[in-house]
Amino acid sequence: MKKKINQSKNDFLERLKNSEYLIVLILILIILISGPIVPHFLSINNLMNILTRTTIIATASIGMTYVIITGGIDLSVGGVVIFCSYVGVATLLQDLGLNIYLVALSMLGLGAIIGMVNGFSVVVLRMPPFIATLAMMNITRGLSHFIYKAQTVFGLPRSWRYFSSGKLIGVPMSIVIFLIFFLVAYLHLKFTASGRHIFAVGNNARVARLSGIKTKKVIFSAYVISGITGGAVAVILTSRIFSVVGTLGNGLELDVISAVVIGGTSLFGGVGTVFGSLVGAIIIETVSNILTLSRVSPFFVLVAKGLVLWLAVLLDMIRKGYLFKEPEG
Amino acid sequence: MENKIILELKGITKYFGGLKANDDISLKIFEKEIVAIVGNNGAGKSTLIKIISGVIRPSSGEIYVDGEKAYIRDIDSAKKYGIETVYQDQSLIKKFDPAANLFLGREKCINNIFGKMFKWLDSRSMKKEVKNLLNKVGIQIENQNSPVNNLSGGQQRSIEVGRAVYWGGKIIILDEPFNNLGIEQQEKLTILIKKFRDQFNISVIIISHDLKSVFRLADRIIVLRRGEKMGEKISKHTRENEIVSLITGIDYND
Repeated sequence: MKKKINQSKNDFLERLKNSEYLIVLILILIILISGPIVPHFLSINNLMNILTRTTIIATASIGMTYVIITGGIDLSVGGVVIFCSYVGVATLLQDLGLNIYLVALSMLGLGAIIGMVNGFSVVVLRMPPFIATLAMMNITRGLSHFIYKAQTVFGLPRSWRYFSSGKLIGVPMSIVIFLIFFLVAYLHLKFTASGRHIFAVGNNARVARLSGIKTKKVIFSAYVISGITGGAVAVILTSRIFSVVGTLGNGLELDVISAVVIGGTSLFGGVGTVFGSLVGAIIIETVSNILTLSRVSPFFVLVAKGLVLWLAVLLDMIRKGYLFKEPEG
Repeated sequence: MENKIILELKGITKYFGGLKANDDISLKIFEKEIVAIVGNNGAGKSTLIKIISGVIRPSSGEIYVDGEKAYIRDIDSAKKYGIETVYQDQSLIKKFDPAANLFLGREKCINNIFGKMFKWLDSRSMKKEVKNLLNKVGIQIENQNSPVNNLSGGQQRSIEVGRAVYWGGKIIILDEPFNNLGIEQQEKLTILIKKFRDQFNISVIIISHDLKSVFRLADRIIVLRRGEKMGEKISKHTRENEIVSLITGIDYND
């Protein structure tokens, strides 16, 4: 009998350690502690602020979750955002005067194309994802500055506001866009065969391949999805700030990867949930917000974010049992 | 032992550059037979197995499955002939549950338009299939949702072999199945393989260094040395000494 009780306690701790409930718990703790201490934290205005900023990170983190589950990484997300923003808003929207839906779709498409180049580099050329996507980030950001001279683009047609403040059944479009991506990704990963293949490839690409799964296609599609969500962020962000600026998307990859890792997706691949990444995004933005409200220097906010990521990776390694382990061979 | 020949190799020869890995090997495998291919390192066992399972193609020679000439070009075409390999280093996704592993790459989807369009997983049906399959060989798994990592070695092997059999495997190849197993686990594996053979009418080809296990499991033993077939013996009619002699070429017989 005693053995059984210990067993179930171990099981419970084990499941708690691995579950998404842990991070929700952490988030609630953060909010409960900060509520009374930090001025204006719980004001409606501030909470809306957090929500809108979270939407940006959360949307990009959906694609990033796919990539990291397959065991890769996508450092190009910030570059995708700025590139799609400039091309979409400055050229397609302003210069060519195209319809906003067409522009938005094109920005998604452009993100997809960049994702395809990433996918090609990783799958066909067999480049390490870190390098391939890092290079892409520089290429896209550099191209944006080269072509558009890092100028601030303003005076956008009012209609472009739709994708941030436009409402659908009372819900802001930015959140609607996020929710659509979120729901599709959630259902896909949990309930479909191709979603399961993403996990299979991330867990053991060799076994997956021997079982007839087209590993190359799976990994390639993860990068395309990441590119698309990057394009979606470009739409939402340019709509929100109603302009395009040269610093758009700077440092986005830090926030997005942090959100995904905090959310329980392992950098070693094979596990992860989009729900976890969402909570991770909320945590990152909440912590950032709390520090800002506490009149902490913005540079320290960067330190704090780095620290949170560091701790998240540490937790990831503890979970996987990799801490202090010597490399194989 | 049935008389029907399920697999026949005629004059299989394989060159790797100047090296003759397989030299004019001919053999027959009968239905419901468990055959062991033994030999030292470099005897050509792996090469032969790879040719049968489609990983590589012979330089010359023919393969017949069920009496008909077989054109085995790759792993997929070998599978179509019912030839499946269970690899030595685990072929399971540790974090996936048994059903997910059994149906890996061939997931069952819900049988309506919606299900087919999105390939919506029919988990309930898959779990039921696993249960039925394993019950036939006497394996019970209490928690179907548990990752296979948490299952015993025997249970894991049963899923691996079960998967090969479930997907139409008629000729199951086991590559060093007894490696890294304790004595008790070897016994259990032997019993398991025999149960699979009895329940599903399959033939099994095993490669193994472990002669004791080979004698316990195999109906017939084929010995290779330096790429050539040195001989084949029915296990009951031979002894370890004789097999070792054939393997090494040194006479150990009293």
